[in-house]
Amino acid sequence: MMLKKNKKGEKLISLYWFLVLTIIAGGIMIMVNVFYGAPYDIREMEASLLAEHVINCISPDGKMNSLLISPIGTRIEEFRDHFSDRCNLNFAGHQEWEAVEYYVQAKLYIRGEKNPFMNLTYGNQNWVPQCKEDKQLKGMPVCFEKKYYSYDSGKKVYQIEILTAVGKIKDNVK
Amino acid sequence: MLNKNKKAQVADSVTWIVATIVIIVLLVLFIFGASMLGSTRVVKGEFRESLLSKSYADKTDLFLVKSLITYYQLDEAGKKYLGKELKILDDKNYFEVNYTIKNQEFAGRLV
Repeated sequence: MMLKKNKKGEKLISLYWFLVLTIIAGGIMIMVNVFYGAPYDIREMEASLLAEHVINCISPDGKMNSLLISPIGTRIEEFRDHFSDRCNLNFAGHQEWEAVEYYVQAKLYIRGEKNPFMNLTYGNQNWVPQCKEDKQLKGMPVCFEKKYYSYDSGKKVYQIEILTAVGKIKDNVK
Repeated sequence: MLNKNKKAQVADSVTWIVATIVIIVLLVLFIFGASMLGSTRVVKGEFRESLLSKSYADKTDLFLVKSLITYYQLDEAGKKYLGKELKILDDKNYFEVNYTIKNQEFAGRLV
């Protein structure tokens, strides 16, 4: 009688152990899935690469692009009007109806002048106000802003301010 | 004797129930931790030097490089102006690389 009772107890304990092992294994599986399922946020790098691509287009080898500034120092409007083509920019999404996830702006200033000599923009301007905010939240685009100096054939100095923004929140943020 | 056995059985069961709860709570905490760690996966382009060849590991700042190219193309007055501007930016730690060293590298190449 006593022996029978113990066998039942042993069976119950075995069942319990099996349950505990299943719970732990399930928990580990969930942990691995949650960690490795989270996307890598590469937008900071993307924004910086986009900016570098644009500055290489505006001033390849450090000198202003001759298609943008003529040898006599005047701006060529055609470059501004076809900025995306001239700099090989294509921000189209995977699907036609998807919003454009990128924005790029380049402001060119002549040395000592306050107003920009030329303003080149392309992409989704809706990201810009969020770039100006101090606090960066999860659902916000990642922005990159930097300036550098370049020169033209007449050795005139230009200050170029670059702003790039990358949305792509769904692909990069959990 | 029977009474004592029942008490022991109850105590045993309570121990197991508490142990199960502790295991579940710990698992939930670890899952939460994994989720938190997962959301910090940001790639900034900084990789371990041991994983890269030296040419890749050497950092550069394209913005500074282009500015320095411009600097060395200008006359003395232009150099004075741009040198001052670049120094101001360097004081604010604006560049990703050491401005003075990069400037010396450029000067060395041009000599």
